[in-house]
Amino acid sequence: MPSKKFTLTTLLATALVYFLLDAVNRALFSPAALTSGESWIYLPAGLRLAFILIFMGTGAMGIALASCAIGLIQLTGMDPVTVLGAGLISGFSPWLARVICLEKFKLDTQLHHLNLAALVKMALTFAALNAVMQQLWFALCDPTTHFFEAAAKMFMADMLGTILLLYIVKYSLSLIPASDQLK
Amino acid sequence: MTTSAQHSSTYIRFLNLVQSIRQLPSFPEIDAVEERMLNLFAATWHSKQPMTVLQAMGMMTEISSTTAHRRIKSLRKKGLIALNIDEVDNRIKYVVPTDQSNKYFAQLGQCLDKAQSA
Repeated sequence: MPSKKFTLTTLLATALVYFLLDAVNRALFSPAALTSGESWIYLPAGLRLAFILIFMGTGAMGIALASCAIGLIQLTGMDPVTVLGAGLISGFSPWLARVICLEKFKLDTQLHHLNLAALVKMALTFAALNAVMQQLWFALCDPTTHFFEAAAKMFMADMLGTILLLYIVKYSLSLIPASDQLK
Repeated sequence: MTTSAQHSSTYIRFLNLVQSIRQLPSFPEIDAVEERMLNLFAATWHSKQPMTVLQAMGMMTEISSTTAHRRIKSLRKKGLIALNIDEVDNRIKYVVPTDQSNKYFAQLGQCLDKAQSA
């Protein structure tokens, strides 16, 4: 059985990091926000991919927790049930995308054969599933929602955010000096 | 699953993810002209012939000597070539490979080997 302490620590840490990156994203990209208040680039989407792949179910719960908190704080004019539903979808749609991708790309849970091509396809699946499921939920709660337009914008923001975050990680890794023993 | 086993499997997933992120294509560090120039230099270096800066500048007939000189300076700045001064006549400089350019060609060679064996 997984250790409760490890699970709880991971859950709270992933929720906190996701919440903070969302705040950073708002601060960085709010001038370029879309008319609906959404940014063109959503950096936490990259974090969502990483957390789900590394921490699996615990990562999904952390993201769902953070998304619910973000929704309740930021979307004050919206029905709490709609906000909570969107938060849960935000956490569990990547989980569903992970299950689909592992099956489709013949990857094991430890990601031993994960390569760049599979990672890009996974990022696409994560972004598409999240955008479609979230906007379906919003359309269900509010039939006046423009589903296709909103889903396309969310998909694009998630994809751009994921690519940007992956490149930030890549260049941060290249800045780490190699140990003399490993040279 | 014990806590340490759980930690290690989380870490393995992290390492595998980092490994795939490292494969993301980088922005090109040398442009097409510099790449062609470096390839021509490599052929001369391979034949063990000394190559002066003047000879290097004249290798690509399709570009002006000013452009060639600028590219040689740029390649030197990027650490892909070095200039050695002649022991007798210090007006003559030789274009020589660096560790970085040797590594660059070794990597290209490995890629070719991999492609051939696939």
